[in-house]
Amino acid sequence: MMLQNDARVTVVRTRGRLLATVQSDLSGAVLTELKRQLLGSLAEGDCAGIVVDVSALDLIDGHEFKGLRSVLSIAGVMGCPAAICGLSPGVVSSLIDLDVDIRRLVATLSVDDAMASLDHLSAAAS
Amino acid sequence: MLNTVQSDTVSTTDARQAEILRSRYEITDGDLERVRVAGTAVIPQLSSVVADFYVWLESRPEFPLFFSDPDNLARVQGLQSGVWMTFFGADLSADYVGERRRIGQIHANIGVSLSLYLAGMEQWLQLFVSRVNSDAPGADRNAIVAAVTKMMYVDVDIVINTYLENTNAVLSAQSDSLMRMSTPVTSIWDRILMLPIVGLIDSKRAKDIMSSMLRKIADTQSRIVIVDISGVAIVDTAVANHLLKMTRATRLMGCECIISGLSPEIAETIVDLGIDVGDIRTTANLRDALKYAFEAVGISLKEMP
Repeated sequence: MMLQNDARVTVVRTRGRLLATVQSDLSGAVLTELKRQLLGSLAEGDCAGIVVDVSALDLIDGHEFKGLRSVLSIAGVMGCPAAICGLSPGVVSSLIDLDVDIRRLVATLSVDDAMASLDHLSAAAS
Repeated sequence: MLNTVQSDTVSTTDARQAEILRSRYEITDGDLERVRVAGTAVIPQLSSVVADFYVWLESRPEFPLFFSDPDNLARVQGLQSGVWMTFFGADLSADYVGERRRIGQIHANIGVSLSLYLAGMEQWLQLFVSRVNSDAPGADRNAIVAAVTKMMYVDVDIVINTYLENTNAVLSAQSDSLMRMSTPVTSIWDRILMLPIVGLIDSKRAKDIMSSMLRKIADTQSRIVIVDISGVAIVDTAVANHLLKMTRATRLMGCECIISGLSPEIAETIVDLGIDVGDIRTTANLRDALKYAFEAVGISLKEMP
């Protein structure tokens, strides 16, 4: 089970939401693992939102960011608002240079902020 | 060692400059000879010429500005005689050009206006012509005056170029300092940052501003950053793109960016250029930006009763 060891993703349930923490570079395997765990838990129901914490990452390339976005978009289609938090200044600079698409993306500094944003979103929706 | 190399290059450019000046003013060896002939008439009377010149100069309103001190006046008059001795030596060499350049530098440094310098040269020319007049044989006189005039133009040419170089140096130093002006990102309230941008924005500066801003956002966990562009000299497509990039970057950091200080002129330029500001929050002044920022972080301002 090499994959399990490499793919350092943890998903915990907190305050009715899913918090996914990515601890290693978002390679294909890690991304697949993130998708499997997140969307699997989501399908079980009773989830008011998803927060993906990437503060442990020093580098995210355009491809990885696209993958991450698609996971968040899928969650959105499944009716669950999603936010990304903890992008570091260096990562942001490189992503902006790569001119990535950030439309309709909820990004926050900390997990707390992400939770607050999602509260705000669900309050606005209802 | 380095100094020698530098002075070598300076004297080569001066030598080339001397060549260029010679051909520009069509100065022949005959002209130089005629200047020397004029010199034989003028140099013996040089002290009276200098005295006449200072009679004129004293009538100028600028005179007291430069010669409040009588010792200084005597010293400058002495230097002036030396300058005209080399002038009538008519040796248009690298040294001559270097010397004239130095004179231009001195004039520029003490703040003699170009108009005053030109008027002064005109006075000198008249004084010299009057001296040549009385002594030189009639047939040669016109040719001699023409030669002296050409030589005068050479002097004026060098000095004017020195003035221009000085002005250009000042201008480029100013634009440099404008570019290098630091961009302080300050926290004006809990979770509210303020970034006033003054001067010109090019891609390098935009990058510096952005990285310091992002770092500060991460450090202070700010929710709002107000970018005030009222001090930005020119907003064109490139600058607008840099600003758009900044707002996108702040959004990725989970921080909202308000662009404030869009004057009517800047706003008009942006609309005319067809730049889509999209959903970026922009305000005309800092006051509105602050008001929005306080609301966004949940602070209400109340006037004291």
